Amino acid sequence: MENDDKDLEKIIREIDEGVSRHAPPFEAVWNAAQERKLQHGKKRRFQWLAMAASLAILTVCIFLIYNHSDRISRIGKTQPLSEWRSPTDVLLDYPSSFSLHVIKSSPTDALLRVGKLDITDGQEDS
Amino acid sequence: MVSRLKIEFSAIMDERTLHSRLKELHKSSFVWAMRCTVQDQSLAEDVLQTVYLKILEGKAVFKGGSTFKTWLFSVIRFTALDSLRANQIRLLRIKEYEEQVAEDHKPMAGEGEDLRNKLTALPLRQQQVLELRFFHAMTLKEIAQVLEISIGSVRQHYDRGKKRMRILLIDKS
Repeated sequence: MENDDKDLEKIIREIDEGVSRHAPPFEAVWNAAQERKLQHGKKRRFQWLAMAASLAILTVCIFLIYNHSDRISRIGKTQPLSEWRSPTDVLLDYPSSFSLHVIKSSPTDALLRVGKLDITDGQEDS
Repeated sequence: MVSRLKIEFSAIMDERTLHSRLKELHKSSFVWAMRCTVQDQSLAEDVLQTVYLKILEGKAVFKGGSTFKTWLFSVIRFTALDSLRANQIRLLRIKEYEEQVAEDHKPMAGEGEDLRNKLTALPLRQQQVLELRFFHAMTLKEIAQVLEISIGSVRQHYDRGKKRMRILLIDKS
Protein backbone atom coordinates (compact mmCIF):
# COMPACT_ATOMS: atom_id res chain seq x y z
CA MET A 1 0.00 0.00 0.00
CA GLU A 2 2.80 2.41 0.90
CA ASN A 3 4.56 1.54 -2.33
CA ASP A 4 1.39 2.48 -4.20
CA ASP A 5 1.35 5.81 -2.37
CA LYS A 6 4.95 6.43 -3.40
CA ASP A 7 4.04 5.73 -7.01
CA LEU A 8 1.09 8.09 -6.85
CA GLU A 9 3.25 10.74 -5.21
CA LYS A 10 5.80 10.35 -8.00
CA ILE A 11 3.15 10.66 -10.70
CA ILE A 12 1.52 13.71 -9.14
CA ARG A 13 4.92 15.34 -8.58
CA GLU A 14 5.75 14.72 -12.22
CA ILE A 15 2.49 16.29 -13.36
CA ASP A 16 2.80 19.35 -11.15
CA GLU A 17 6.46 19.90 -11.90
CA GLY A 18 5.46 20.03 -15.56
CA VAL A 19 2.88 22.68 -14.67
CA SER A 20 5.30 24.68 -12.52
CA ARG A 21 7.66 25.06 -15.49
CA HIS A 22 5.02 27.28 -17.09
CA ALA A 23 4.87 29.61 -14.10
CA PRO A 24 5.39 33.27 -15.06
CA PRO A 25 8.43 34.98 -13.46
CA PHE A 26 7.69 36.18 -9.95
CA GLU A 27 8.99 39.72 -10.50
CA ALA A 28 6.68 40.20 -13.50
CA VAL A 29 3.60 39.20 -11.52
CA TRP A 30 4.72 41.22 -8.46
CA ASN A 31 5.39 44.36 -10.53
CA ALA A 32 2.05 44.03 -12.29
CA ALA A 33 0.35 43.75 -8.89
CA GLN A 34 2.18 46.88 -7.67
CA GLU A 35 1.12 48.77 -10.78
CA ARG A 36 -2.47 47.73 -10.20
CA LYS A 37 -2.17 48.93 -6.62
CA LEU A 38 -1.08 52.37 -7.82
CA GLN A 39 -3.96 52.52 -10.29
CA HIS A 40 -6.40 51.49 -7.57
CA GLY A 41 -5.01 54.26 -5.36
CA LYS A 42 -5.56 56.87 -8.08
CA LYS A 43 -9.04 55.55 -8.74
CA ARG A 44 -9.89 55.64 -5.05
CA ARG A 45 -8.58 59.21 -4.70
CA PHE A 46 -10.71 60.25 -7.68
CA GLN A 47 -13.75 58.58 -6.13
CA TRP A 48 -13.19 60.43 -2.84
CA LEU A 49 -12.82 63.73 -4.67
CA ALA A 50 -15.94 63.10 -6.72
CA MET A 51 -17.86 62.22 -3.58
CA ALA A 52 -16.64 65.35 -1.76
CA ALA A 53 -17.53 67.54 -4.75
CA SER A 54 -21.01 66.05 -5.08
CA LEU A 55 -21.59 66.51 -1.34
CA ALA A 56 -20.56 70.16 -1.60
CA ILE A 57 -22.89 70.70 -4.58
CA LEU A 58 -25.70 68.98 -2.71
CA THR A 59 -25.15 71.20 0.35
CA VAL A 60 -25.22 74.36 -1.80
CA CYS A 61 -28.39 73.16 -3.55
CA ILE A 62 -30.11 72.43 -0.23
CA PHE A 63 -29.09 75.87 1.07
CA LEU A 64 -30.40 77.61 -2.05
CA ILE A 65 -33.68 75.71 -2.00
CA TYR A 66 -34.18 76.46 1.70
CA ASN A 67 -33.28 80.11 1.25
CA HIS A 68 -35.62 80.50 -1.72
CA SER A 69 -38.62 78.97 0.04
CA ASP A 70 -37.90 81.11 3.10
CA ARG A 71 -37.90 84.26 0.96
CA ILE A 72 -41.16 83.26 -0.71
CA SER A 73 -42.80 82.72 2.68
CA ARG A 74 -41.53 86.10 3.89
CA ILE A 75 -42.98 87.87 0.84
CA GLY A 76 -46.24 86.04 1.38
CA LYS A 77 -46.36 87.24 4.99
CA THR A 78 -45.76 90.93 4.28
CA GLN A 79 -48.09 91.34 1.33
CA PRO A 80 -50.97 88.93 1.29
CA LEU A 81 -53.49 89.96 -1.35
CA SER A 82 -56.45 89.98 1.07
CA GLU A 83 -54.75 92.55 3.29
CA TRP A 84 -53.72 94.87 0.53
CA ARG A 85 -54.63 98.50 1.07
CA SER A 86 -54.40 101.37 -1.29
CA PRO A 87 -52.12 104.30 -0.40
CA THR A 88 -55.18 106.58 -0.01
CA ASP A 89 -56.62 104.26 2.66
CA VAL A 90 -53.36 104.41 4.52
CA LEU A 91 -53.38 108.23 4.31
CA LEU A 92 -56.93 108.47 5.67
CA ASP A 93 -56.12 106.20 8.61
CA TYR A 94 -52.88 107.90 9.54
CA PRO A 95 -53.06 111.53 8.34
CA SER A 96 -50.49 112.68 10.88
CA SER A 97 -47.92 110.43 9.40
CA PHE A 98 -47.51 113.06 6.63
CA SER A 99 -46.60 116.65 7.45
CA LEU A 100 -48.36 119.56 5.75
CA HIS A 101 -45.13 120.52 4.15
CA VAL A 102 -44.93 117.22 2.50
CA ILE A 103 -48.52 117.39 1.36
CA LYS A 104 -47.98 120.82 -0.07
CA SER A 105 -45.15 119.68 -2.14
CA SER A 106 -47.16 116.84 -3.52
CA PRO A 107 -48.91 117.06 -6.95
CA THR A 108 -52.25 117.62 -5.23
CA ASP A 109 -51.03 121.14 -4.26
CA ALA A 110 -52.64 122.48 -7.39
CA LEU A 111 -56.08 121.69 -5.92
CA LEU A 112 -55.16 123.59 -2.73
CA ARG A 113 -54.16 126.65 -4.70
CA VAL A 114 -57.40 126.61 -6.67
CA GLY A 115 -59.30 126.39 -3.34
CA LYS A 116 -61.25 123.36 -4.15
CA LEU A 117 -59.77 121.49 -1.25
CA ASP A 118 -59.53 123.05 2.18
CA ILE A 119 -57.65 121.01 4.65
CA THR A 120 -56.75 123.89 7.02
CA ASP A 121 -60.37 124.37 8.21
CA GLY A 122 -60.04 122.57 11.47
CA GLN A 123 -56.64 124.03 12.23
CA GLU A 124 -57.72 127.67 11.79
CA ASP A 125 -60.89 127.17 13.84
CA SER A 126 -58.89 125.95 16.77
CA MET B 1 9.87 60.64 15.85
CA VAL B 2 11.85 57.56 16.90
CA SER B 3 8.72 55.44 17.20
CA ARG B 4 7.55 56.62 13.77
CA LEU B 5 10.89 55.62 12.28
CA LYS B 6 10.62 52.27 14.03
CA ILE B 7 7.19 51.68 12.54
CA GLU B 8 8.37 52.66 9.05
CA PHE B 9 11.41 50.42 9.39
CA SER B 10 9.35 47.45 10.54
CA ALA B 11 6.90 48.05 7.68
CA ILE B 12 9.78 47.93 5.20
CA MET B 13 11.12 44.78 6.82
CA ASP B 14 7.71 43.19 6.71
CA GLU B 15 7.28 43.93 3.04
CA ARG B 16 10.73 42.58 2.31
CA THR B 17 10.07 39.40 4.26
CA LEU B 18 6.71 39.06 2.57
CA HIS B 19 8.28 39.59 -0.83
CA SER B 20 10.94 36.91 -0.24
CA ARG B 21 8.43 34.43 1.16
CA LEU B 22 6.06 34.94 -1.75
CA LYS B 23 8.95 34.60 -4.18
CA GLU B 24 9.99 31.37 -2.49
CA LEU B 25 6.47 29.95 -2.85
CA HIS B 26 5.74 31.45 -6.27
CA LYS B 27 5.99 28.26 -8.33
CA SER B 28 3.97 26.22 -5.85
CA SER B 29 1.42 29.03 -5.72
CA PHE B 30 1.12 28.97 -9.50
CA VAL B 31 0.60 25.17 -9.53
CA TRP B 32 -2.08 25.56 -6.86
CA ALA B 33 -3.71 28.45 -8.73
CA MET B 34 -3.76 26.28 -11.85
CA ARG B 35 -5.52 23.53 -9.93
CA CYS B 36 -8.05 25.96 -8.44
CA THR B 37 -8.82 27.55 -11.82
CA VAL B 38 -9.32 24.14 -13.40
CA GLN B 39 -6.06 24.34 -15.38
CA ASP B 40 -6.73 27.69 -17.04
CA GLN B 41 -3.27 29.24 -17.33
CA SER B 42 -4.24 32.85 -18.04
CA LEU B 43 -6.83 32.79 -15.28
CA ALA B 44 -4.28 31.27 -12.89
CA GLU B 45 -1.82 34.07 -13.66
CA ASP B 46 -4.53 36.65 -13.11
CA VAL B 47 -5.52 35.02 -9.82
CA LEU B 48 -1.92 35.09 -8.61
CA GLN B 49 -1.61 38.76 -9.51
CA THR B 50 -4.87 39.52 -7.68
CA VAL B 51 -3.61 37.62 -4.63
CA TYR B 52 -0.40 39.68 -4.56
CA LEU B 53 -2.49 42.83 -4.97
CA LYS B 54 -4.71 41.83 -2.04
CA ILE B 55 -1.58 41.30 0.06
CA LEU B 56 -0.04 44.61 -1.03
CA GLU B 57 -3.25 46.53 -0.29
CA GLY B 58 -3.59 44.85 3.08
CA LYS B 59 -6.89 43.20 2.17
CA ALA B 60 -5.37 39.80 2.91
CA VAL B 61 -3.31 39.88 6.09
CA PHE B 62 -1.36 36.97 7.52
CA LYS B 63 -2.09 36.87 11.24
CA GLY B 64 -0.07 33.79 12.10
CA GLY B 65 -3.05 31.53 12.82
CA SER B 66 -1.60 28.88 10.53
CA THR B 67 1.56 28.46 8.46
CA PHE B 68 2.25 31.11 5.84
CA LYS B 69 1.87 28.59 3.04
CA THR B 70 -1.51 27.37 4.30
CA TRP B 71 -2.73 30.95 4.55
CA LEU B 72 -1.46 31.84 1.08
CA PHE B 73 -3.04 28.77 -0.50
CA SER B 74 -6.31 29.56 1.19
CA VAL B 75 -6.24 33.11 -0.23
CA ILE B 76 -5.45 31.70 -3.68
CA ARG B 77 -8.38 29.28 -3.45
CA PHE B 78 -10.85 32.04 -2.50
CA THR B 79 -9.55 34.38 -5.17
CA ALA B 80 -9.75 31.64 -7.80
CA LEU B 81 -13.34 30.89 -6.79
CA ASP B 82 -14.23 34.58 -7.09
CA SER B 83 -12.55 34.81 -10.49
CA LEU B 84 -14.31 31.71 -11.74
CA ARG B 85 -17.62 33.07 -10.53
CA ALA B 86 -16.91 36.41 -12.18
CA ASN B 87 -16.05 34.69 -15.43
CA GLN B 88 -19.15 32.52 -15.15
CA ILE B 89 -17.24 29.46 -16.20
CA ARG B 90 -16.93 27.73 -12.88
CA LEU B 91 -20.07 25.65 -13.11
CA LEU B 92 -19.40 24.85 -16.72
CA ARG B 93 -15.84 23.79 -16.03
CA ILE B 94 -16.73 21.72 -12.98
CA LYS B 95 -19.51 20.02 -14.89
CA GLU B 96 -17.09 19.25 -17.66
CA TYR B 97 -14.73 17.76 -15.12
CA GLU B 98 -17.44 15.74 -13.50
CA GLU B 99 -18.33 14.36 -16.88
CA GLN B 100 -14.67 13.59 -17.46
CA VAL B 101 -14.27 15.55 -20.64
CA ALA B 102 -11.09 17.24 -19.61
CA GLU B 103 -9.61 16.67 -23.06
CA ASP B 104 -11.07 19.98 -24.21
CA HIS B 105 -9.04 21.89 -21.61
CA LYS B 106 -5.41 21.31 -22.28
CA PRO B 107 -3.81 24.73 -22.47
CA MET B 108 -0.37 23.29 -21.95
CA ALA B 109 0.64 20.59 -24.33
CA GLY B 110 3.85 18.74 -23.72
CA GLU B 111 5.43 16.43 -21.22
CA GLY B 112 3.30 14.39 -18.83
CA GLU B 113 0.12 15.19 -20.74
CA ASP B 114 -1.26 11.68 -20.38
CA LEU B 115 -0.60 11.65 -16.65
CA ARG B 116 -2.16 15.07 -16.31
CA ASN B 117 -5.30 13.84 -18.03
CA LYS B 118 -5.51 10.96 -15.59
CA LEU B 119 -5.35 13.33 -12.65
CA THR B 120 -7.84 15.76 -14.15
CA ALA B 121 -10.27 12.90 -14.65
CA LEU B 122 -10.80 12.91 -10.86
CA PRO B 123 -13.37 15.17 -9.19
CA LEU B 124 -11.88 18.60 -8.44
CA ARG B 125 -11.86 18.16 -4.65
CA GLN B 126 -9.95 14.87 -4.92
CA GLN B 127 -7.45 16.48 -7.30
CA GLN B 128 -6.92 19.32 -4.85
CA VAL B 129 -6.41 17.01 -1.88
CA LEU B 130 -3.97 14.75 -3.76
CA GLU B 131 -2.01 17.73 -5.06
CA LEU B 132 -1.78 19.39 -1.66
CA ARG B 133 -0.73 16.10 -0.08
CA PHE B 134 1.78 14.85 -2.64
CA PHE B 135 3.10 17.92 -4.43
CA HIS B 136 2.90 20.55 -1.72
CA ALA B 137 3.68 18.04 1.05
CA MET B 138 0.95 19.29 3.37
CA THR B 139 -0.48 17.42 6.31
CA LEU B 140 -4.16 16.48 6.34
CA LYS B 141 -4.73 19.16 8.97
CA GLU B 142 -3.17 21.82 6.76
CA ILE B 143 -5.22 20.62 3.79
CA ALA B 144 -8.35 20.91 5.91
CA GLN B 145 -7.38 24.51 6.74
CA VAL B 146 -6.76 25.41 3.10
CA LEU B 147 -9.99 23.86 1.83
CA GLU B 148 -11.95 24.82 4.94
CA ILE B 149 -13.41 21.37 5.44
CA SER B 150 -13.06 18.86 8.28
CA ILE B 151 -10.11 16.48 8.52
CA GLY B 152 -12.58 13.61 8.16
CA SER B 153 -13.71 14.95 4.78
CA VAL B 154 -10.10 15.47 3.73
CA ARG B 155 -9.29 11.87 4.62
CA GLN B 156 -12.32 10.68 2.66
CA HIS B 157 -11.36 12.68 -0.45
CA TYR B 158 -7.77 11.54 -0.07
CA ASP B 159 -8.63 7.82 0.13
CA ARG B 160 -11.19 7.98 -2.67
CA GLY B 161 -8.84 10.01 -4.85
CA LYS B 162 -6.00 7.54 -4.39
CA LYS B 163 -8.29 4.59 -5.10
CA ARG B 164 -9.72 6.19 -8.22
CA MET B 165 -6.30 7.29 -9.45
CA ARG B 166 -4.96 3.74 -9.07
CA ILE B 167 -7.91 2.39 -11.06
CA LEU B 168 -7.32 4.96 -13.78
CA LEU B 169 -3.63 4.15 -13.92
CA ILE B 170 -4.32 0.41 -14.21
CA ASP B 171 -7.07 0.97 -16.82
CA LYS B 172 -4.97 3.15 -19.06
CA SER B 173 -1.83 1.08 -18.75
